[in-house]
Amino acid sequence: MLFNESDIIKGCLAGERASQKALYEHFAGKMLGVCMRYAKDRAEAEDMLQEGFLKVFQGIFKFKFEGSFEGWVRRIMVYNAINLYKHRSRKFQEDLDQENFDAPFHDNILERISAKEIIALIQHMPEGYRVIFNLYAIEGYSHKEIAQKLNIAEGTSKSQYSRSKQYMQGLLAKHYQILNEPFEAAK
Amino acid sequence: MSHLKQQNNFEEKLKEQLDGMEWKPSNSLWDRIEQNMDADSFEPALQNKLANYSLEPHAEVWENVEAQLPEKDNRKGFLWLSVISFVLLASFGAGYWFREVEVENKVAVNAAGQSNTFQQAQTTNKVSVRTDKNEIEKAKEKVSSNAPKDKQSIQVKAAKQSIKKVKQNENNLLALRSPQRAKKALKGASSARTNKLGNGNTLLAIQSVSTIGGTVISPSNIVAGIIDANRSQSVNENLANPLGRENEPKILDAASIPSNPAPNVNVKEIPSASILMGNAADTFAENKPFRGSSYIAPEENLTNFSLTAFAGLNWGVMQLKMPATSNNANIIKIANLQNSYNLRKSMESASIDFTGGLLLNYHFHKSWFVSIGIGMTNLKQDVSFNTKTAQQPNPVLVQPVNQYVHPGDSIIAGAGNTYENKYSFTEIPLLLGYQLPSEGDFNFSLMGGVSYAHLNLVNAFMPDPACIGILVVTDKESFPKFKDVLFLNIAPAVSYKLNGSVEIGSMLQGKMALNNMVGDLQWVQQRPYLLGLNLFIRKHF
Repeated sequence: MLFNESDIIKGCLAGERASQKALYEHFAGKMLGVCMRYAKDRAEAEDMLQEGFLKVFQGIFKFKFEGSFEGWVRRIMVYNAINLYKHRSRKFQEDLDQENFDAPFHDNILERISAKEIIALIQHMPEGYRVIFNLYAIEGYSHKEIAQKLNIAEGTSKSQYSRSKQYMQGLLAKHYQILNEPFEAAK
Repeated sequence: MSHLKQQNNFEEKLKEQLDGMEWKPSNSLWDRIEQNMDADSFEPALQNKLANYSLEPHAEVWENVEAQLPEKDNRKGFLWLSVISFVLLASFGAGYWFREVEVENKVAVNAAGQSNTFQQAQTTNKVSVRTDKNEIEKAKEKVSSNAPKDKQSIQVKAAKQSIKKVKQNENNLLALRSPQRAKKALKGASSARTNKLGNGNTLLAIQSVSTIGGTVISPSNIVAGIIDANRSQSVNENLANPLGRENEPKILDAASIPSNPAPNVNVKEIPSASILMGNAADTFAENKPFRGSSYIAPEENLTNFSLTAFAGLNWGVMQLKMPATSNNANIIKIANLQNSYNLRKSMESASIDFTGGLLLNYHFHKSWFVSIGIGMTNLKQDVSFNTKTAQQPNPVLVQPVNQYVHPGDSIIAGAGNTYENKYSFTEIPLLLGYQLPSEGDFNFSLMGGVSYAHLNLVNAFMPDPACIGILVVTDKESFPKFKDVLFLNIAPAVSYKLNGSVEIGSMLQGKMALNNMVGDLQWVQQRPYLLGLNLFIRKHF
């Protein structure tokens, strides 16, 4: 079925179920990919997706027909994930205990592992790191914006991101090392 | 040395001392720069890697989402489907039923003037086949007798011709037994009747195949020889009322047809038809109306009731009006509403939608009738506007935020955004009708009255009083609360009589709301006006 974004949005505005389903089917895959980065596992990601789409349908009147509709849907998913995180009232300090990874990180590691593996590693991050890492490194928000969204100081956002980045790079390096150790030994 | 000269010397000496000076950076500076350079490549690389990542969610996710969405729109679809199905079923059902009646009438007419021809042709064919076969036997006997050889050869030749004709007769009989071929035969017989030769022609045709050995066997002889008196009477009864129905038009008797024989027809042989037909000469005693090539059902048998099924399109206009000043306590709100009202008048334009229904008519006088029924009337309007970023937040939002489109935008005239306002009514009309006297097949009538229209569905977009944001009304109970409407109706119609009981026609329909349909008297008031064109079919009982 061709996806005519304007017609589908108008159908959703009129509350037509067929249009809502068409919109869901068009964006569900990508948005689950977004939710997977913020959730600890797939089940939690699907819960986020479900809640996010409900917010999309309930708040579609707020879409101004300006800019990308996909971007708008994505922002709702991200906000939903942030709200979920804030609702849990987790403190960043809880996440400060981090492992020390021996393996060095190289830029080419990213090229050699799949998106699915990266998502799995992001899910292994402590929740506080995960949120800030996603917002800054992948969504592209500034530290000022992140500070506003999470009600934290801008400096906290910067320091947390710095640590989360080190953590992620360590995870990536370790993962890459584990994957390649048997081959290295064979040589 | 002046003070100015002393100052210049200081700057020059300082410059000389600092020029070419080297300062070793800390060891960590490069690490920090390198980290920043890494940051520039790490984040974009990660973003690229994950940009198109997608994952198929489980089916339960949509089921859960759907379960939490309001059910209203399924009901809307179901209602639309139900109404359309009902109107279509009613229309096609009525059409099929009227068609059945029409076919039945034709059968009756054919039975009167044509089917009987088929029946008698069939009967006569049977007669002539049997007769011919007897004659063949006789001819064969003659051939086997002591007749001279040349005479024998002539008789054998004649007998062969007779056998050929008998076979042709048998083929004709088979053809007549086939319904489709029988229809063709009826058509032929019909043309024979139209030529005022009727049964006489058929008999002449039969006579032509009832010839053997140069000897003409007259139909009277055939009847006398084969059909006994009882059978003859039975045949005549069947012919007089072939379907065994009362009040059906009787057959057209050859005896009652003005004598106008065609050339080369042996008129003397025609009266034998009356023997075959029996005493049906009193057919026209009832003076049944005769129109064109068919009879129409006697109108005196109809009741005073008729049923009309109609469907068509209407063009709907919504008249807008500012609320009366006495209804508004808040002067500021009125000032805001005036802007919204002006904007709305430029935003909304008339559009076309569907209408249909059924009317039961009671004809209490030759020209007058009353009608009551049920129908569906939809009114649609195109809504178009442009938006621009609002200078201030909306000060007078009348609904929760999530029932607004563009809540942060000023609404201005334009065509950048297009929506449709839809109102669907179930209508119960009570109409008085007058049918103009008419001698021909066309009738003109005029209906007028009122109808109660229950508002079933509403889906409307209207600007907020401050013209910031579009208010979406999808429920007639939500603000500004829509009400049912009383319509004043007027409907001139023209119809064509297909036969004595069925008419088809076209009806113009004008409707004007007698009341305002907006419940909140401080909001813009609105009254619908509709102009429709319907096609209808009417069956008299």
